[in-house]
Amino acid sequence: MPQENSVKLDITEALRYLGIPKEKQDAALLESARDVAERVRKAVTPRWLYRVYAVTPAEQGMMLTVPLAGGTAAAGRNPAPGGVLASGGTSAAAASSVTGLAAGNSAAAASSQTGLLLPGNSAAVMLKECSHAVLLIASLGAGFDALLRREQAQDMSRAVIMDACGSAFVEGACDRAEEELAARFPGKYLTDRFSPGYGDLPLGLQESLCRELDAYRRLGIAVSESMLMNPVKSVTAEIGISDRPQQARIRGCEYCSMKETCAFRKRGERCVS
Amino acid sequence: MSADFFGQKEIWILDGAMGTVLQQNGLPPGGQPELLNLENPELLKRVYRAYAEAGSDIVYSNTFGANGLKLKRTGHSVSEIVESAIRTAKEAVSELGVRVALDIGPLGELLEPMGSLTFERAYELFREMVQAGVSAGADLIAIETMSDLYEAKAALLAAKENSDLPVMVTMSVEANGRTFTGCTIPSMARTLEGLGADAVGLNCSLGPDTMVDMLAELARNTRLPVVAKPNAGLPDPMDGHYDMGPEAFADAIVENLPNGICIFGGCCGTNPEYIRQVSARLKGKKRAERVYDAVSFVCTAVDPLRLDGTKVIGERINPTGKKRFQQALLENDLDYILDVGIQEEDAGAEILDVNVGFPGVDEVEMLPRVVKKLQSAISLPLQLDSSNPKALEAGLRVYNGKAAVNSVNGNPEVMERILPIIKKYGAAVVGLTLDDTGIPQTAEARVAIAERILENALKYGIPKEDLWIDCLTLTVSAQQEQAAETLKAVYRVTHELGLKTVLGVSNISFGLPNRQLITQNFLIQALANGLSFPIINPNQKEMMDAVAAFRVLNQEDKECRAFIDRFAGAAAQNAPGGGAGGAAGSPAGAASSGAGGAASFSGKAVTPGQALDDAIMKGLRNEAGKIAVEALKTETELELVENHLIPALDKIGIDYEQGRAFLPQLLSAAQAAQAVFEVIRASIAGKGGEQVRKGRLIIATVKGDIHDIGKNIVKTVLENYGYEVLDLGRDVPPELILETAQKENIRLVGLSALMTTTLPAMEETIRLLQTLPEPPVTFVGGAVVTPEYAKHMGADYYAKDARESVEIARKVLG
Repeated sequence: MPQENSVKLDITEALRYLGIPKEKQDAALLESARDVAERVRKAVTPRWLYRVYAVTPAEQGMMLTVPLAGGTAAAGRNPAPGGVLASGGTSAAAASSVTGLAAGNSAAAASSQTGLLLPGNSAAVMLKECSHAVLLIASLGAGFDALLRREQAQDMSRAVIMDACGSAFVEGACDRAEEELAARFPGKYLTDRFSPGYGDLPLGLQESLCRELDAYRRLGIAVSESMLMNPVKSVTAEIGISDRPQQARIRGCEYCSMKETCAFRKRGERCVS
Repeated sequence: MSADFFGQKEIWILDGAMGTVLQQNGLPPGGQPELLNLENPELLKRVYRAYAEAGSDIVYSNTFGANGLKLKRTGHSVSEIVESAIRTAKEAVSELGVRVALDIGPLGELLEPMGSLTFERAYELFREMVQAGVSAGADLIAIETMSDLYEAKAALLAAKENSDLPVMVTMSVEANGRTFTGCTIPSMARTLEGLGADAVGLNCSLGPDTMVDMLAELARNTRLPVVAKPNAGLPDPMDGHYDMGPEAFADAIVENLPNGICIFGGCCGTNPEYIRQVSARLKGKKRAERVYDAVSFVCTAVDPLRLDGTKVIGERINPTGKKRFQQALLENDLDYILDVGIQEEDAGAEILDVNVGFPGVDEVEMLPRVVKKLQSAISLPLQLDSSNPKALEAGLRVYNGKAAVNSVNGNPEVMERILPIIKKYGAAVVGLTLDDTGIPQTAEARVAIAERILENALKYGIPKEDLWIDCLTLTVSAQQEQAAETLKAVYRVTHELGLKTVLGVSNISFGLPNRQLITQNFLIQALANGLSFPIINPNQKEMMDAVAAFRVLNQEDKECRAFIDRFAGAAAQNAPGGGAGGAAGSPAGAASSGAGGAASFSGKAVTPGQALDDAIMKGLRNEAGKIAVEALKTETELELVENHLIPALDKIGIDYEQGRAFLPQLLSAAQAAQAVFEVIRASIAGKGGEQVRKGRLIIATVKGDIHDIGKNIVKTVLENYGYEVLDLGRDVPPELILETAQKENIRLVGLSALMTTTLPAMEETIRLLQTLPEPPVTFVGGAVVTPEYAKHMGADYYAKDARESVEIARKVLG
């Protein structure tokens, strides 16, 4: 699990999240934001994790299946699945009986025996030319929330700046993760990042996605019934991996991760002309 | 029953992963393993058996997530799943002499203050699991993979209060030695031992190699057996497989043996082969000697406080003699109390004394609320100060960490009431050297009472280091000879009994001029006689200066670093013209926010009123407060509000609307106004008059929504226009909003929602409010709310921002 202090926290971007365009970011505001950003950096370490899946088109979207590398690469280190129980014969029987169970268990939501379905047209378009896709999750952790709670008790003015810095910081963490991925796949091309809630990719996917990545155990992220992630500054994303150059498809508010909270949008304005 | 369960064997072997093995046998990703208890017990039996045959002395039942929250949508009850799991496990392994532990994992939602799941609800969810486990015959309880100490506490209390079974508690830490929620290893060890765990340890998240030093630290902080149940190394980011094979895992885990760790198992990525290897390497081994660090200690989850030197206990959270504080208590104004605590923390207090006893206040209800409020934003350990045992128990129950209690005394009845509570919650306790006959006049008699309290504490199983003695400060102007007796008693309790001492110092100077001089002198003498924890007002610079100097002379402040930090900057500033009067140079002063620029009050020839307008507009909090004090000499409280506060706020509000000012500036101005309001409130409270109020309203973030910063912005702005805001918080059920509106006869309700998924809850709240005979006016806002949607929901107003909510409040409440 990477822990990087080199993650970028873009102050100008943070102030833009607050609806303050770059040309109106005066010295006092920038100084205040730099101060807050420094405290956030000191107190918080962004974390992220990801897994790579094979992509296959399915009837209602794109199916992500268990990583190709996994079974074979890991077999040398861990005993292969068949060998974990007392004798080979019983484990084979066990495997088939679990399969039988899965078929009868519809509670497992979007995830099924074969993998995780990214339903809808948006995912299908994004991953059309991709052999693989990455599920990524990044978070500032509970430490940021604690810092923000205290700041809210003390100084709401700085608290709103801190909140925006948190958003910028977790975006920075996603950028770093993406750089890491680009380095892992030399010669391949990555699509834009997209998340549940983008286009027609349902927000309800958040839960199975977090469960798939074991986000609670590995990053301390819980998903509420209303599909909110907690700690608050947590982001999930999907990124496609392709052999061909990928056009930038994501443009405009519909695809922006800030669309739920953007101050420009609330005023009916846009952050870029 | 659980007295010495783990003493039955030198070394215990636990099982390995359940989830990993099930997935290797075909459990679908994202599937719920708990359902297998009903649908495929035969598979589970084979897993339990495989572990038993590999050498496990204890196997964990397949109930990690079998709690009421996670099972809600499965159509199965907790008791059904848990009982079946325990029965299956017992059938599989009991005949081999292997014990079955009821496995309890985290609930999957975050507890308050991080999430909205209350401590009490978490307790109920765990209780349900424990009761099912007990009735099905579990041999012990294993609480594991906890990252929130508060949640671990809820689970442990549920286990202890609803069973006689031994309980092990293990938490998960990251490579930095803290859990995801920031809990430290000493905090978990000391808190969980205090609450009566039978074994503590670490599981999951790290490999056995990275855990060695952390487990050694854990072992130094507890007398309990220590558990190591690590993962099979770290997962590969590409495919999620763990990188350590059984041999390497076993080699690494036995490295813990010399540190006295005696309970071993595996977590994610392990399987029976790992356990076989571990078991083989540990065969015939004995527990190594342990050294326990028997130091006085209190903590919160994130702030472990080893009490090995002088520590300052802040005395300000106390209504005695403080009109404004009393008013806050009577009005349920917990924000004010939190603010007092934050100021103490900023001023350098290390423990906060918390006293909320006042006529008209129900302490049993108030103390836990204040504890929760303080712990939502302050990381310092607390000392709960009350003579009401019920209030103390209620406060200790919801406290996250190891607290101190103030106080018990030599009266046998008091000891009998208080000490069992101290023992149950693992707190430290202050013993006052008085009894039913009063305060003894000699040091000898006070030391004798201290001895008696110590004897009793030990009898109840409270360790010596958890008893601190207060030798009592008497007012020197009334009983002059007593100061020396107190100091003598401090010396003897410290050096002869070997106990830590506390002393409320300020009382010494009551009734004298230049009180601070006497108090400071007495403080220094008491410290020199061995006083460990002075209870003082940390906002008084003279007191904190004295403590800083003492720490240098007593070799606590190594290389005088803290002292230099404290004074190096101040010396340059204060050089000309001698000491600045009052709080100007105090490090305790709240930092002013927002833009720089000095106040113009003394600069130009302006009236205090004009200077006030200017300070508010510029968001100069400290200046605004000071100028308000001046301005009150020429204007009434109400005039100040009507002529200056509100016009200044309106002006910045218009700038905000027109894009000349932005949210941070708007809020800075609101906070400067708040400082003025604070002066006005104090002034009115001092005279006992009616407070300036423009009307009351409710605001809340709707059910399901945990993003509350938008709501808090609205609250800040509205309050500083003089409205009384009943803030119901976040994730608020529609029923609670209805009930409050009805009970408090509220005419205006503001609702906030940030996500599309929570809009239905907003609509439901409005619908419910409209069932009232005289429904209150509603206004809604938040990122996803639009004017159209507001109308569709039946809201009376849509507020696009905090500024607009003021206009709405004006229309509705005046």
